[in-house]
Amino acid sequence: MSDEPLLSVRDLEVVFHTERERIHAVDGVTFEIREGQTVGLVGESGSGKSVTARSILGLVDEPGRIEGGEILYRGEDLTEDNWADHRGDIAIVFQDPTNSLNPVYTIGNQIEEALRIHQDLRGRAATDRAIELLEDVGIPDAPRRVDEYPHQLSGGMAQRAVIAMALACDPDLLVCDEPTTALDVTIQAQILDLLAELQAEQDLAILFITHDMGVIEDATDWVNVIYAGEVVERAPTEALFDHPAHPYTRALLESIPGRTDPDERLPTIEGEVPTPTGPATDCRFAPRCPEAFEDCRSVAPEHVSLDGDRSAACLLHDPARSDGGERQ
Amino acid sequence: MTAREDPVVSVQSLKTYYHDDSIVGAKPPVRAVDGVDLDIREGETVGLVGESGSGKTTLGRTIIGLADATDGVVEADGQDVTEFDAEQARDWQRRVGMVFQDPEESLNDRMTIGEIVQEPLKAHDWPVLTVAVEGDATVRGSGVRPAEPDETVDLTVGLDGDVTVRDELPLSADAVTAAVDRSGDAPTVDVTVEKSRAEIRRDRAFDLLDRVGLSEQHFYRYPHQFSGGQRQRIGIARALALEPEFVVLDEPVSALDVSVQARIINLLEDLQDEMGLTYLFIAHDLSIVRHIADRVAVMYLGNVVELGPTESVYADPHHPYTVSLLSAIPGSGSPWTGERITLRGSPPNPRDPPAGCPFATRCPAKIRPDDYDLPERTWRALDELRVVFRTRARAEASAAETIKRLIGLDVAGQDLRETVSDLLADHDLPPAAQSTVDAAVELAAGGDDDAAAEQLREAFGSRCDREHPEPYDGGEDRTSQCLRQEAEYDGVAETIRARQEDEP
Ligand code: SF4
Ligand code: SF4
Repeated sequence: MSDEPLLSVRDLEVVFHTERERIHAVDGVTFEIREGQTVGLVGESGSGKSVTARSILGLVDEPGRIEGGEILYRGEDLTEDNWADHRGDIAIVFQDPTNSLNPVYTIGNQIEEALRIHQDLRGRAATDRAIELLEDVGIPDAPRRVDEYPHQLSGGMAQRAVIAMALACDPDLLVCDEPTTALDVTIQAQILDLLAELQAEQDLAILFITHDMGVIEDATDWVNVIYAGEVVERAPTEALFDHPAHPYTRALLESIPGRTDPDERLPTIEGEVPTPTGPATDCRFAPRCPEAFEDCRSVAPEHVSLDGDRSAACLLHDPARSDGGERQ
Repeated sequence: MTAREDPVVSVQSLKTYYHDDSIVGAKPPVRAVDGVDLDIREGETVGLVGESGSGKTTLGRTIIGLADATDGVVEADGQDVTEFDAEQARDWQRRVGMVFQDPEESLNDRMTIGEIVQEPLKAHDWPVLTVAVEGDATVRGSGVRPAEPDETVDLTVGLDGDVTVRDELPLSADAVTAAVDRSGDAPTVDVTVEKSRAEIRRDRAFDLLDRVGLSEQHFYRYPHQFSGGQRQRIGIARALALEPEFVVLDEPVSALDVSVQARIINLLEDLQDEMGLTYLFIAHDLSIVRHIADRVAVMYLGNVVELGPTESVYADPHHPYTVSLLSAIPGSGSPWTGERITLRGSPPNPRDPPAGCPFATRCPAKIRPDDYDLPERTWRALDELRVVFRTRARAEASAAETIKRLIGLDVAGQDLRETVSDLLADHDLPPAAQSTVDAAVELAAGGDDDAAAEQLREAFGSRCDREHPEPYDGGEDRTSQCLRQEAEYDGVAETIRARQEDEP
């Protein structure tokens, strides 16, 4: 593992222009992934996590535009239109495998196409490699399945095929955007195991984008919590679950049903995730934050470094502003 | 929430099969529900969990009459719901409600919220007010009828003409007059309601919106103006419009963010307490079910394989499938303390379920025959091999393959042999076992995958492959359909742990 991060996203700004307003879907997101590491980006719908994922691949469509920040891949800024040079280095797996597969071509055709583009493999060599890839992702009877069409595969098998396709370009970084959300729990468990295995074997780095705290807990080494376009907390996964430092992280963890006694009401977060339409002038979580105080409505919190190589963007941790210092 | 014992609904040996209508007899039917027994008791929440294709939604739909049963009984008040005629079915529809998973799809975007919530009221000509009179009296009037015995009474009329209106109704006693005529043998009561049905319906809709945490101002808006959580509230208001006793909630929070989920779950619990509702809560998320359900029913391939009080089942699951599901809950939400059990493959095709235990193809605790002493991983490889043959036998052959088969060519024999040797690489089979496998491979290479699968089953199968387990009584109000409940076998959790230890 070198010192330089494999991917470094810095102050990323993605703005969607609509007739009436500018929506800052991603508003200054910063995080890093090192080689072979699994990093989570967790948040609710509208948090900007998927837009962040798409930005990394250069897949932000109109009316969205990357308007600021850098996405450094091995030090090279992709946002200066360098995506084409790194097409094969970063691959993405989306939530719904059926959207990623073309229904009129066989699984084999589609993987072979990826192999042709990224590895310059053709003919028998490509077919053999496609079969190997399907075997790598745990599809039984691969020599036969390679000739099947997407509709002949179950959801779990289709997602494996999509992962095989992603691996066809031999990437260093796999971006997984809710890869298991559409799947049943036992199939989800299989896919999580598979990703962990692939990672160990191929030293892949994985960016896991999900709303599921359970998946984050199982699958990642490091996690970034994103809220209304901003990363509000970053920490090693275990530390985050043991001591969430940001009130939003705490609230999110508490609202998971498994963590509350069944006889008690579930703790909730009232209100809705705001849509950021301008630069932050306050803490975007303040209207919903049980711990908000006066300054929260007039100051946009910066990340404050905390013990254990972690940080949180919350004024409670800013010794100059909060009376209590670090409350946990 | 303590449930009383009377079942609101009693499901007995229920089967719901789907046929392909397109080409008659082209394929065997999908056995979505394949012999289910389940009592749902008054005031309780039964969580119904299982994976997609397990039949849980079909079971819910069959109970409330949205899907036709193929066989068996759904009993309510001593009557069989599956045999209802049109009018009885309408009555039953009033007493049950359903909330769907996707609030986006289940709400008509061209109707206002007010119209959506009033839809069931209109469809059932609500309200026709039931009237009970002190003593024996004839009731007359438009929009009213005498209450049947045991029926909910909307208006209670005294012989002095005093009227009381049931609290739930958006109607004040002032708007109702009752004229009592005692000139005949039995008194006659003429009831006049000075509020139109349309007004009562509108006010009922206001009440419902209020109940689910929305307000009057939402009445005139359209579904697309609402967030997912709010839309689900609208769906709940609609399901409750006719004051059902029993509500089927089909994945009501699966499409929602966790923080929104929590609010909807709290709302459902409050409504249950206030209105004395009975719930069937269908979900694939086991943590939510643990939170909300008094009892849990675990479904696999059309069967309820385990049933019991939620806490007891989560603390000590009896069925290997339940153990697997619980262990698959990601993160610290899992009550299983051991290593996660990763099930192999996916559930079998419900058109063609296994002959024995439905879970036998994936079971981590499957009983092994005494004939061979093989490590568990070798048993699994052999199982997997059989699944490969079975899948091949069921797959639609491509045109080219069919032709090859017809003229007697080896069908992908080369590939098949490779697959088999890959599967069985690093397994040491005793010579007798090896020759059985070889013979099966030859059969499959010759195109007879069925016979190949059968041969393996004969040689390496166990009771699990032959017997469909009946529900065993596990005490404490629990049942499970697994042969390991029999005294001669080791327990399920114990077996799984022992096997996990043997494997790398
Ligand atoms: S800055 Fe204030 S409002 Fe924001 S999370 Fe911290 S305490 Fe809550
Ligand atoms: S009967 Fe056999 S296959 Fe079925 S669940 Fe029990 S042990 Fe597993």
